[in-house]
Amino acid sequence: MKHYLEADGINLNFGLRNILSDVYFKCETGKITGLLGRNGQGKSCLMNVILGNLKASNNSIRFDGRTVTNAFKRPDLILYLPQFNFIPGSLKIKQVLDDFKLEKNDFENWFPEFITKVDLKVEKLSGGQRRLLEIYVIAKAPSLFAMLDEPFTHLHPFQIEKVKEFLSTEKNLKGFLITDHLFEHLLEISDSVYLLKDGKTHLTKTKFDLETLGYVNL
Amino acid sequence: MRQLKLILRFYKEFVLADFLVTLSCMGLMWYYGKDSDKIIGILLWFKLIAILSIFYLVSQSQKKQLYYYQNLGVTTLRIGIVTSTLDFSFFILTLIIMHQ
Repeated sequence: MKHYLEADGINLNFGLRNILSDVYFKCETGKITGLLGRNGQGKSCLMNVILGNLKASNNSIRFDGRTVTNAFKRPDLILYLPQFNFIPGSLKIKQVLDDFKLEKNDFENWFPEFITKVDLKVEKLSGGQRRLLEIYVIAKAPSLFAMLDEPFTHLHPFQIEKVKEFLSTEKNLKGFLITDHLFEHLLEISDSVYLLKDGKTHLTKTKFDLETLGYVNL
Repeated sequence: MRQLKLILRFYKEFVLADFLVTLSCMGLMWYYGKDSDKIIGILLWFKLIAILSIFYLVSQSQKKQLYYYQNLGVTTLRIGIVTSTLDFSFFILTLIIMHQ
């Protein structure tokens, strides 16, 4: 059964500065939706508005047509990977997997570099390994949707390829909204891509649309 | 039960600060001896303000970690309410014991 996350009419202002203006987008389970935009265009703000962490002056966030104002209280609906490390460094990897009710074996199958490391504290991991763990728990934990803010940060090329394969598999179970500056990787795995520019979303289809909208120079 | 376990885990970050405030209040009670009745009102307000201030400071300094708990269904408000209630109950209990 398909599930839908839709947002429209999102307006967000910080004082006189207009960040988001009548933003619309749609996500669905079984698909990866990409969100591109230059720095400061409001990508992370948009994700926080969807979660309910940021209050927009006007918005409508709907899951399967039902309005949800504080989605951050509903991890069964949506999970969020922020652009910074959010897992407390003092926790052991196996403790994190337990908290999210995830299987150690499946984690090690996807990312063999963690074999024999599950007893380590998160703070002992490298930046890339820490990011892999964070991506894994958010993408794998049961929920209808997951929002990933710059998941490829800190990852080396091999890890990026692995994460792309992982997300493409996991999308069969949930819907993803992903933003990242590594747009070519994002284009490769996304089923649809929005470009956030001047506070508005523009649905794009190809790299050339991104060039037309002034996001890239090809 | 799972949520309480997670909240208590976060509480470990600042339980010592809360306990030291309680301890200082007990020290003042002991210092004033029979006249301690006169300062109970002040101590209650002091403790209440300390609880709120400590939680505010911790929630600001551990802002990133709070996303971890949020993804597990434990909101910042819930952590604040549960930890404050636990700490204030412990404070009242020690006040009663000392007063006897």
